[in-house]
Amino acid sequence: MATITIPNFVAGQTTDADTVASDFYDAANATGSFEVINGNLDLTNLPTGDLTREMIQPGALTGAGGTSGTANLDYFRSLFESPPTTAVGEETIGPDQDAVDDNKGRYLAIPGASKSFYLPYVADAIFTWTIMWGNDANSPTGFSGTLLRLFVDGVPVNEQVRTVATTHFTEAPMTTHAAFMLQRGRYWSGHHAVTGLTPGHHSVSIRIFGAAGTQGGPKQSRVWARSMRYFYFMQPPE
Amino acid sequence: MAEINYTPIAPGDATTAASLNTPFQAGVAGVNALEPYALRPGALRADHLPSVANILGTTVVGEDFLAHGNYTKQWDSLAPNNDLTDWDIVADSTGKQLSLTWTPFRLGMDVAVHRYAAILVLVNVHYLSSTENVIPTQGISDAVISVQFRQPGAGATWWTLNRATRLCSQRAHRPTLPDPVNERTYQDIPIRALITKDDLVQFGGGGTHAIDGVRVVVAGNDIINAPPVPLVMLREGRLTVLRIRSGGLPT
Repeated sequence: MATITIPNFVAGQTTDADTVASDFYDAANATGSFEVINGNLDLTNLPTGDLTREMIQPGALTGAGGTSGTANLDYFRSLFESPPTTAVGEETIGPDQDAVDDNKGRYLAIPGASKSFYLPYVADAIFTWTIMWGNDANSPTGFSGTLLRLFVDGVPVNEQVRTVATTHFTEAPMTTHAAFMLQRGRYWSGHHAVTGLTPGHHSVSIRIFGAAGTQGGPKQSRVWARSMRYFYFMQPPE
Repeated sequence: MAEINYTPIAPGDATTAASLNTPFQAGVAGVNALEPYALRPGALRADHLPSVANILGTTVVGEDFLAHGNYTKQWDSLAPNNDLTDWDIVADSTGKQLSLTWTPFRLGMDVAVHRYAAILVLVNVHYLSSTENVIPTQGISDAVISVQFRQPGAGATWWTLNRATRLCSQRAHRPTLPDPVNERTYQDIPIRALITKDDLVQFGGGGTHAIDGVRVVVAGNDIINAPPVPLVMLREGRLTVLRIRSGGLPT
C-alpha cells in the first residue's frame, strides 16, 4: 500500500520540527511521509490505467548480458604455473577442495565463458553457462588432472567445479589410450544464484586449471565455451 | 490529479493550520493519484519502484562430490506421476533433499490478492549413470528427472510439472560392464521452468492459486526390458527459485 496519509496540522497545535520533517521524509513512517516516492510507488498511486514498461527507464529494474564463443580452445600443460602434486582421485574433487585458495591464482579464465558486468544498484543475480571439453591425458582411470571451476568476482565457488576426464581410452586392439571416445566428452550446463550483489563492477567466469596429479598430467585439454549469461534484478537497498 | 501546485511558505508569512496543510495535502493528492499521462517514457527508475523479482532460495545437495545417491524407482510415463508414486526425491548421502518450501503465496496478476506473477525454477543435476545389473546394457536405460510443486490448497499434493521432465540417456560406452566407475557419463542436466497460476489451476488449485514448495525428483526408465529397474546414480544437485512480482506490472 503506497497511498500517503499525512495528518493535518490543527489550529493551536504547537509546531514540532520532527513532525514536519517526518512528513517530508521518514523511512520508518511508510505511508505517512513523502518517502513513498523513494521506491514504494505502485498501482495504488495510479487509480486509472496501468504501469506499462514504457514508463520505466530501460534497465531500471533488470538487466542481462552474456558472451559466447565458437573456437576450439586448447590448453596445454605448459600453460599452468607450478601445478601442485596433490593426488586427485578419478573424477573425485573432494580432496582438492582445500587447495582451492592456494591454486586460485593459477586458474585461467576461459574466453567465451567469462564476462564482466556493471550493476547500477544492489541486485540479485543468476548466472547460467554451457561449456564442453575433452582431454588426451594418459590416464588409466579417466581423470586428467584438470579442473574447471566457477569464479565470481575472482573468488572460486567451491562446489561449482567439474573435472576434465580423458576423452581417449584404451580399447583393444589399440593400446595406451589411443582410441578417441566421443562419449567421454563432458558438458556442463550450470547455474549459480547470488543475492545482494553490491552496485559496481563485477565478473563471472569459468576457469581452467591443470593439476599435475599422478594421472599422467594434462597433455592437452580442448574446451568449447558456448555461453556465459547473467541476468539481475534490482533489490531495494538495506 | 497529477499536477502538484505547491505554494511556498515565505519568510514573514503568518502561518495558520490551513496554510501549512494546503501545500502538504496538495503533494499528497498528487502522489496518491498519478495520471498515466504524467509518467513520461522512462520516467520511473529504480529509485521509484519496488523490485520486480528476487531469489526466493537456492539449495544444493551432494556438494562434497564424495558420495552419490542411488535411485531405483521405475518411471511410468502413463501414470499420473504425482507425489512419490513413481519417483524418488533427489537427495544426498546425508538425507538432505533437493527441495525448497516456503510460506504459501499466491500466483497471478490480480493485485487484490496476488503478490507474485510466477516463479522461475532452475535445476541442475549432475548425472552419473543409469544401468542395470544385466549384460548387455547398450543404452536401453534412462534416468528421468523432473520438478514437482506443492499446493497447500489442493490436498498438499506434490504435482509433477510434466513439461519439466527430462529423459537422460545412459550413454555408457563400455556396455559389457554394468556401471564401471570409469564409464559414467557425468552429464549436467539443466531444467528451467516457469510456474504460473495456469499450472495451479490445471491441478485443481485454482481456488487459492497458492504454492509453497518445489522439489526435484528422479526415476529410472528401461525402454525395452521388463524389470529389473535401472539403478540411477546422481551426484550434485542444485535448485534455485526466483519469484517474479505482480502489482507493479501491467495487469
